[in-house]
Amino acid sequence: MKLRWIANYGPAFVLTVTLLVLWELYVRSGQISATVLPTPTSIVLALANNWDVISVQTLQTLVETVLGLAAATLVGLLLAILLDVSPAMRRAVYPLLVTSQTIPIIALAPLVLIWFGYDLGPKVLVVALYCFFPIAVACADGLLGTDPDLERLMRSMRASRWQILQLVRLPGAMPAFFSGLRIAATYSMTGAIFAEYVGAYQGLGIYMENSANAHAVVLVFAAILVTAVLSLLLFGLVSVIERIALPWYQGAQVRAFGDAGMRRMG
Amino acid sequence: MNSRTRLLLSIGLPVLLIIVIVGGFLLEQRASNSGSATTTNTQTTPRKLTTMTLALDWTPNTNHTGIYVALAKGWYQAQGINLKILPYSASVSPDTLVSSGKADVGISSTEGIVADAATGQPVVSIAAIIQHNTSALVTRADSGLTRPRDLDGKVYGGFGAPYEAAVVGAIIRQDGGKGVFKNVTLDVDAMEALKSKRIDFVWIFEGWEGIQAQREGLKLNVFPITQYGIPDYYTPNIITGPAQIKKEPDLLHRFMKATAQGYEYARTHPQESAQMLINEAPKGTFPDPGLVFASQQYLSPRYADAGRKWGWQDAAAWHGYPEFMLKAGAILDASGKPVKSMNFDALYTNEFLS
Repeated sequence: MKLRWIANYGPAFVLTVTLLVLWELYVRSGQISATVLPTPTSIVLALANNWDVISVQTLQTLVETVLGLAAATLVGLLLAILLDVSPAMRRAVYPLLVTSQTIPIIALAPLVLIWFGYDLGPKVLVVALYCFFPIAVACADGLLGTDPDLERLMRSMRASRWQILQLVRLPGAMPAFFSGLRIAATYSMTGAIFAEYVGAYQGLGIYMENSANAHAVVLVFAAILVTAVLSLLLFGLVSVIERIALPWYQGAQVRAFGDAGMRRMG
Repeated sequence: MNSRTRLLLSIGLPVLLIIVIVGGFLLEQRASNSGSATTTNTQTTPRKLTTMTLALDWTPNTNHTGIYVALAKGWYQAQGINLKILPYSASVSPDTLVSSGKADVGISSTEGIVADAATGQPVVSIAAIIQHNTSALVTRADSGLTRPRDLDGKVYGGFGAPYEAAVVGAIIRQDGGKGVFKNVTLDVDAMEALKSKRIDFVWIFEGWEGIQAQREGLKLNVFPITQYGIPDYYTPNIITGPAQIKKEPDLLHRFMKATAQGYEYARTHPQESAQMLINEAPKGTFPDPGLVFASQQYLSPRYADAGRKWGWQDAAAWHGYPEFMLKAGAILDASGKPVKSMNFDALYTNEFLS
């Protein structure tokens, strides 16, 4: 067990530590000013010293993120089913869906602010806008890729459309859905931070902006560290749920851990 | 695990997580709300307060001190105003918020106000926060660029305003240069870019970035723009919109009364007022309180000349620089054509200061 753990996580751990040490040395050797790029140790220290302030900002951003991601998951899933049920709908909506992703949200920022104000709502909305697309697309593709033989079998047993969807297509689409969800979870924190940049009373985005304006770059990096850790945790959470929901589906491990996972499967 | 438990778990876990996070958030909010409520209750008689919103032009700094002083002293409440300061937004200007009615008042600049009038989004300056211009073009002391005409062909780190390049070009020409330079719009802190030599010069407020540079030991060549042929002007300004002037003149009067009180106090009490700014601004705004004190020392005597009341605006200042900007072709209308004339007297008023 222990050995397997080392095999699984060892390489990532070694690489991370090496990069951090190189980073620390690079800054300490005076190649670059510590006011532009702070050292990893000073970032961790700053984070600890300012935790009372940063924790409040983090909670704000986290609320926006999880609510937005939840909304995106529901909307994405519903949209995918809707697209799948009606081919006409698919032809009409799909191009719009793709186009919607090409609009830089920065252009819409003033509108969002003037229409919806500074409250929690618009932040959740922006996160949802960021996140629903990968979920909807992945899930729609998953639904499309159902094994035709299975469907034929179901139809031969006089299954209704709804039954086919429930028993064959949706479960079959779940791996794709989780792939989309994993991408969305990674984006979601960034989406929330962007939404705060547009205008908010508090949150990690505002905190980064204030700290940057005050030349406290080390605090900007402290906020980035929090963001990165939380994004990783969200990503991990999705993987955990995937394992609970689809214990038979080991694809996630193959992707994440390469050979080690493969060997375990075999 | 059967399939039902799996389904329940995979839906229940995220729901549980959301409930925990939202619950924590609500608890935290309640705690901070009750904290602020007790501090404000102590000094007010139960009088109905009118809520008023103010949009900032930048994260809180010493240009805004008077407002935070008046907040700390309860002077807005004494005028029956519950002042809410909207957080600064990098992508939506206070002018837009004021003219769209999302904010009652805001902080802007002479440049912004003139540009707004040209594009049909009029706002009105109701007070000059600083009587004389304290902005300057700066280069690194070790760059060998010692006067504006040296800046020809160099890289300027701008903030993306439409009038910016024309004004900077005119400053260089006033000093005998050609006024041709490269303009990079930076979303990041221009001073950081200057420090790392990615750009050659920037346009800053001496009272904030200038002092910041001093404290960081960065040596600068400073070209105060009014010493290089630019007419003196007020910056920043407190603005409101024509609609607000029509709808709530009394409210604006009371707002300005408290605000003027705040700035008058800040003129004579730099130390105390800087402390109030630090206390009243959102937590974490000033990682370096020393900068606030140093900047306040610099700025307090500059809010207005000795013997003059704070905030008053003269016609001369509202004709000189705006005229200069129009001549330089810096002001474009909504379709992108240069504006040649404008009624400058409609851009400001002292009526709420009396």
